[in-house]
Amino acid sequence: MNRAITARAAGLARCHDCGRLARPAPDGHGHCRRCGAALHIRKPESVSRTWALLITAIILYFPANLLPIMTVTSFGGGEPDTIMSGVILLIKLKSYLVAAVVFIASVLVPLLKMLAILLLLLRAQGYLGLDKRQSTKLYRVVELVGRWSMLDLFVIALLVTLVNFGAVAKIVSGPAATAFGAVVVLTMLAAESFDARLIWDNEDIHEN
Amino acid sequence: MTKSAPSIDPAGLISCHDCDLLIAKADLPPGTKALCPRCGGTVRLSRPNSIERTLALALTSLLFYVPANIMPIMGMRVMGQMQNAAIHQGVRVLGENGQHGAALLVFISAMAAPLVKILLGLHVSLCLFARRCPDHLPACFRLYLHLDEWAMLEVYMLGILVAVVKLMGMATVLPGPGLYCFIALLLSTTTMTSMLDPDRFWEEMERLRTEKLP
Repeated sequence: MNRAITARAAGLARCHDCGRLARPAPDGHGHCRRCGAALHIRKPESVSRTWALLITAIILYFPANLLPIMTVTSFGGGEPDTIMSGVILLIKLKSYLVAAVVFIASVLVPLLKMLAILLLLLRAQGYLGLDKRQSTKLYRVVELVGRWSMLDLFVIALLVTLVNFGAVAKIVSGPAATAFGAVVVLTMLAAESFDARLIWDNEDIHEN
Repeated sequence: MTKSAPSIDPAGLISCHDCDLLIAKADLPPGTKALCPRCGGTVRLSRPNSIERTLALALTSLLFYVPANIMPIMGMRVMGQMQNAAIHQGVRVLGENGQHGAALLVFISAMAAPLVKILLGLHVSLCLFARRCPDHLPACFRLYLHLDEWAMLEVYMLGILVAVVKLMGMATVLPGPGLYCFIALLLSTTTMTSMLDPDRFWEEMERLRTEKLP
């Protein structure tokens, strides 16, 4: 079989920033000649960094969903809303499409994203025998959709500015806004620190 | 045992970002893309006239950035009272409500990152257009690539739509002049990002820098 060879097997490092291939110094260090970024054959400490970011994100997912994200008051009355109660309110208003968009972006995407990163980590560490091509596809989807979870934060930033009529009607943001923002940032950082090439690395080890 | 092949010359080769497979570098015909034979990832996209188009779209984006951020995106009327909302006001009010982290995040993703991205894109494409590569240019372009992910104008646009639907039942919501500028800004920055060919930019920088050396 004419087996394909990877950059790592050839002793080459692909620059993380500009993609240039170079042979790192014998101690594994060095900088890219073209763009100046530090050279590594794989992202350093990729698995443990991704685990740390993922676990922090999972912990913060609870306050993000349980604490109020905003409070709507009208003529003195009103009660705090969580992300999920906001979605239910939209369903009651018969705005099904918007309810679906908010539910997907704020509840489903962060949850599935954390699950996907978990699966990818277990795959990279060899605990799961998922298909390599499928796992790589999953990684690309995670990279692509993560940013859309910021949606709710932008909606709240607009609502608190617009609905500011003192005693008549007022929307105030709640502590879940910051927790939710932290979840989005942490999962984005986790996806970035994960090195998708680790999925393919054990193939090299087994076949060599 | 790892097979070592120290004889392989990296020049003329690229490796797949997603699975590390070594692939021979090739010139792509316009409008095509190269896929990795092992994992199916996109290895390289051909984007014609990338430097010129990036420059033109960066200038367009800069033009729309200021009005899109200063003028109100939309307004709302409740019992004769009018309230407007611009992007920067959202950041301030979130901060006043005590959500400093959320305010910072909205500031970065809707205001700071898009602006810095436009300015860096403009600077880098202008330098390459003028066939110059100052020493700081690679660092600027690296920063541009790292910021890419944190500029989220398209998500903000969806946020505007959701906010409108949420408020429609409560009161009259009116579009502001900032909204049209924001849509123009969104279109021009998105096109700029899709026209910019990072490989082409890096190769051009490398070429200019080696020419400069005696």
